[in-house]
Amino acid sequence: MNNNKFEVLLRNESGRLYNYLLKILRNKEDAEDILQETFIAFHKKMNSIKDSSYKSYLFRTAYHKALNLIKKRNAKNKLVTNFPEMEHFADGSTKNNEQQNELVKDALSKLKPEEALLIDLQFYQKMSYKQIAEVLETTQSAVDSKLVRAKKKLIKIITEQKKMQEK
Amino acid sequence: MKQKNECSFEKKLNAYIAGELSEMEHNKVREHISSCHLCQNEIRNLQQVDNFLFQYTEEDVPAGLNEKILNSVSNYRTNPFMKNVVSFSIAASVLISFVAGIMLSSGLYAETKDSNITIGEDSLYSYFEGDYDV
Repeated sequence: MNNNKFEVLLRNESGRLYNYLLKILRNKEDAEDILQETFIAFHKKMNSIKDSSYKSYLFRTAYHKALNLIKKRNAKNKLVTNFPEMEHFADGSTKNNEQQNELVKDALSKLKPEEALLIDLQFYQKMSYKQIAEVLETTQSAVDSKLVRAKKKLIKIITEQKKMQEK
Repeated sequence: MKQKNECSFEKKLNAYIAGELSEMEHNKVREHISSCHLCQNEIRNLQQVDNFLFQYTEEDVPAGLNEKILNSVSNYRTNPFMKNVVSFSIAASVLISFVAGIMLSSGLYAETKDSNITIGEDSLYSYFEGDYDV
């Protein structure tokens, strides 16, 4: 893979990966760091990766790196909520979008990282079950059952969010 | 009488709204939903999640982040120290293999010539039996 191809891939995929990381990490600096680490890791291995597997590799790598970070955070007993960055979203002209984004991020961060990845791949990356199964190295039926479980959790989370908003 | 609160079609509903079922299965589920209140309710719940998730508006990658990544990759690739280390390692490996090869072949040749023994299965057998002085 030449450098131009890497640059094109970076510019095409960095936005999607960044948003995925932002949703599960809820911290801009961490999302930036993991995005950078993911693309550097990809660059080192890109010659041995098939063109058709670039996206899978990127998401899998980002997922594992994010997972490690979340584990480290949990080990330090830091909660994934109430990051200082949250204050940044409190003002600005696009408040509605930002508030909505915060609700989605809040809900997704309450799922297991693997469930959040599944949701992201299906809803935001528009991947089919077959493609998701390739990313997660699992079967399509496992993807379906995990997605159902994740959505059921989301239904509860959304209901709780609504109750909180009504208070 | 105990009220029915589960439906065997429920497991297929997520795949149904995601368009992941075969045409035949899709039609079968669609037909079932029209007469099953449990499934209709479940579909509404799942669609509520979908609508919620679609509220999210993609955020832009922070300015300069892509360039920062490109620079990191470029530095890694063109770092003169790393380049020198790799080149030196390869050259050293080749040289060591070459010298070791020459030493081994000349030593073996000299030994076989002096003792007038040909290297073969018998000589190796003798070697392990202790007939050779090493």
